[in-house]
Amino acid sequence: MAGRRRLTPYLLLFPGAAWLIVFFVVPMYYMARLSLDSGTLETGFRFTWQWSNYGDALTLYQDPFIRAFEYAGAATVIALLIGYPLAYAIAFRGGKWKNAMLFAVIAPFFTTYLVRTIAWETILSDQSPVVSFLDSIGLAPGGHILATASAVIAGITYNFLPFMVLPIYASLERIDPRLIEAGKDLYASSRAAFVRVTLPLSAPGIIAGTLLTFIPAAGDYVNAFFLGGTNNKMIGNVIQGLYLNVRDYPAAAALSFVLMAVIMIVVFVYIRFAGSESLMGEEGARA
Amino acid sequence: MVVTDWMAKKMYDLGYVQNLDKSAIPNVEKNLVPSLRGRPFDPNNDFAVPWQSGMTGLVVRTDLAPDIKSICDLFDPKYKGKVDMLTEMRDTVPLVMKCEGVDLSKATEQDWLDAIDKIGQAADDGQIRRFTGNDYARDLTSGDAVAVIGWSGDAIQLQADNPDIKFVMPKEGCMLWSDNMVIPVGAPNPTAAEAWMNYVYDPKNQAQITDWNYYVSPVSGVKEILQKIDPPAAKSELIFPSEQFTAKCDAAPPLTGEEETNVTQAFNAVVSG
Repeated sequence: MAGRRRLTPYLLLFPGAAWLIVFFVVPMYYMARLSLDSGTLETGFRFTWQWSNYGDALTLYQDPFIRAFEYAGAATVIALLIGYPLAYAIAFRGGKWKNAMLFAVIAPFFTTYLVRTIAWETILSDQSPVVSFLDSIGLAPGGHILATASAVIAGITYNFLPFMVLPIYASLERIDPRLIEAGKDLYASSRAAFVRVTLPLSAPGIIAGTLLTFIPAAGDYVNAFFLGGTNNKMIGNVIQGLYLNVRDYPAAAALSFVLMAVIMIVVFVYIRFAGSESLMGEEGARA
Repeated sequence: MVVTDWMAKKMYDLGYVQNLDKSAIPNVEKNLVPSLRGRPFDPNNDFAVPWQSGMTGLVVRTDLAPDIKSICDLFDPKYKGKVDMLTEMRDTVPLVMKCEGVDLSKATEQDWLDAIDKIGQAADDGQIRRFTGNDYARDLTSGDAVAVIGWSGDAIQLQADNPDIKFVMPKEGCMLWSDNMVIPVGAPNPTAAEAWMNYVYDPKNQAQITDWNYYVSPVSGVKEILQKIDPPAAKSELIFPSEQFTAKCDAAPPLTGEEETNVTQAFNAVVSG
């Protein structure tokens, strides 16, 4: 009896672990081996501990690397500035419209990512009424947004906004309104109540939202491809080009690992700084 | 599968593509146009049968940029930020080499790299708006781009919606290419594939295809049929180009081995870096 009980946790873990091993660990291993290969498609790839792939990756592609983090960072901040008030409005002022509003946030996801981005090509085109309007109120001097960094950042923000809104909404929803009442009972103004009670309690949501936005955005290539000009390419575009056009698989694999490593470092520092406890939701769950 | 010339050759060399059973495709031998016979990479059509052929040149909004007549005009600062080039290396770079006066039959690796430098410079300056595949069509239609390096078939289709969009034969000449039908090794039904190839090389059927995609047909006898069902198409020089029209046009010079790697990497750095 006791023996069977002990096996149960492992059996429950098994499907998830198997999935992770087959679809993540094994491909990662193959990619790691590929990143140390040398050769071309014609001559065949051979495993030769070619660390120069990594050296080349770091020296040749610094510009797109830095640009990718700049654009992803900007998009994350803007998404936060737009997403937090939106999530707050839905959570606290939604009332009977809550579900409709949530649906409106998710609705764009019913169209594919690619089509949404291509649609923005038309919205941000030089001749579009949207751009003319922005130009007339001074927000888009020159009336030229498409094929610039602004277009790429706008596209990334738009595409990843639901990833920011939903986690923040989830953590705001969990806040017991009596805590805010208690704050007000202790003479806090509305603003103080927000800053001292609501904001810290929604911190796990903010952290989750920013991570869910920043990490995929840093590796994104679709927005830069359609909305960017010749100087707005991100590291994702480089990897795509290396893989599909140059067919230099070792270089593409090495670059992918470098990107993964840099993102992990950034995320690690961010979580340390933000406090890993709030990520686990200890503070939010019972205050 | 349908792939471009250089890719068909590469796949054949890598052993991905099989030889064709000539007895199953008699129409090809009968009807293939003379200009597409004896191509250097597959003189006897052992593994590749042309699907459609085409020209790469300038596609221009003649209402916005009437004086663009050569590839070199694309580098004119007057059109800064309103010019697109193709991500297809073997179309864009040889055309720029032509602008530089290079004889493509004698092009060296350095010629390729110099042309790529010129393109890279223009990209950095903002002269080139972006590098595109077919989606230059969107930029041209909206007017975000006034002139692009583009394909002849697209030009005809775009012209139907906007008569100001025209294919302009560059002064230096154009690039000629053909897409080819090939059969991969291990295909489950090569007989069906060969039957399709044979079917498509019957002028009656080919006429329908040409009437739809407006590219150059590899089958003789199509022009006569089109004259009855779609006279404007039959008269179009883009679908039935005369010798004179394509006098200065070339196929892309071949690239292999180390040369190819260096050139591809350099171009990739310009286009996606």
